[in-house]
Amino acid sequence: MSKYLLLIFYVLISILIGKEFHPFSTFPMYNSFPNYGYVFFLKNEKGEIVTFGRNFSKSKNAGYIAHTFYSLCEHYGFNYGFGKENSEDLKKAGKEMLEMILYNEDEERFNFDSLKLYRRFYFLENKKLKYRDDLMYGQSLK
Amino acid sequence: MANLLNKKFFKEYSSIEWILMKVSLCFIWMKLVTEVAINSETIYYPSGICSLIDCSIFLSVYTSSILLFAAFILSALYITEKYMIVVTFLMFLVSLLSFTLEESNGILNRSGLYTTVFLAQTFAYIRNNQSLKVERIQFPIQIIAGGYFLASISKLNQSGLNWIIEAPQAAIQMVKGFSYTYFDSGNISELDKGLKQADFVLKHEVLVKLLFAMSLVFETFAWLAVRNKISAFAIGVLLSGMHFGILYFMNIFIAAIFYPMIIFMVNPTYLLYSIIKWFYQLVKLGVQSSL
Repeated sequence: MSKYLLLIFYVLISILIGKEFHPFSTFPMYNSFPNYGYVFFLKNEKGEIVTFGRNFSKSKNAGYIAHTFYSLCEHYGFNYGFGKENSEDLKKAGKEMLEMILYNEDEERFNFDSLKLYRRFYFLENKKLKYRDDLMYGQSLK
Repeated sequence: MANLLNKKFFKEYSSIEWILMKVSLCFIWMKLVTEVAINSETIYYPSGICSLIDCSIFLSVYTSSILLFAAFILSALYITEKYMIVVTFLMFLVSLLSFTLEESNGILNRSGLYTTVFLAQTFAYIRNNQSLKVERIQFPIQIIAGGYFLASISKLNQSGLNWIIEAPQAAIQMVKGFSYTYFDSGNISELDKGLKQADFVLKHEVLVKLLFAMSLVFETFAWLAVRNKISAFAIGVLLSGMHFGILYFMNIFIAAIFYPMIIFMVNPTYLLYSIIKWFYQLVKLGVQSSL
């Protein structure tokens, strides 16, 4: 068998499939550096940051939440990126993301009465890093 | 140190080298599979095989426990080199199911290389020829090198040389990575660190472009790793440097890609073993000569 046969097969099949179909992937992460970056975070009724690590299961971290946003946008065919999402899509995505965050969590032990999910939009303007926070969805827990 | 530098070390894979490789691979694999079993709660976005069959039956405590138990038994058989054709194929299936469940939860960790290295080893054991001792390692290296090559194609296809020209815009990704840690922990110093890294990148554009160009070259020529053990080691060291750079500047660690690469190409546990062995022999020689 050629020294390169499996490599060629894996590369060709991944390219032919052209999308994520485990175990095949085109490994598109960071294949471009667009002028935007999103981070998602929570605030309570007092406007304080509710950290993921101290309040939710280990898997529900900021990275996970960001992954779900992109999967969700792909799933619903939302036009996303560069802060261009319309408020309706952002609200729908926020509602589902908050549902995922709260799924199987013991809400009794929460020391806050409501949660608001925000999206931080980082971008460069005149070679300076700037950001804008947008409210996606808010929900009362009590 | 002689052991590290002799010709045999660079040409063949010793038994201890192979065992330490398997132990490292299973240790990380068990950790990743356990995380998926614990954290997969539902199927949000069916992908891969979960888009073809109903995977929700694998989400119950019972099926997750069976899957974990199977992974543990398979790891033990794999390390002890028992029923390798069946074991490596079953490890491929467990991996395929576990990581597809993870991706169906919207988490794209791109663990495809981890899954496929087991299938590559199944092929090596089915062939079972004189080169088995090399092929059971070289076949997975082909898959891993293919993954890096695909990443390079993806960058060139999506951005072309703009991937290097626009590299300073990676400052956004850097601050994003550190922001994740801030919103997870509440530790504001993480966010400050990210802002400082981003500022550094924006002020040193030429250096950043050069580093990005180097990493693109490493990925594009990762296929050279399949040539022989020396090239695998050299490419592995360069790619490890790239991953550590990404971790330092962007606070991003791509575990499911990094681990199989470093285990098969560099094998750090064997390197550590060799250094300890060499040091022990040196001490022993010193003691003998003083007597």
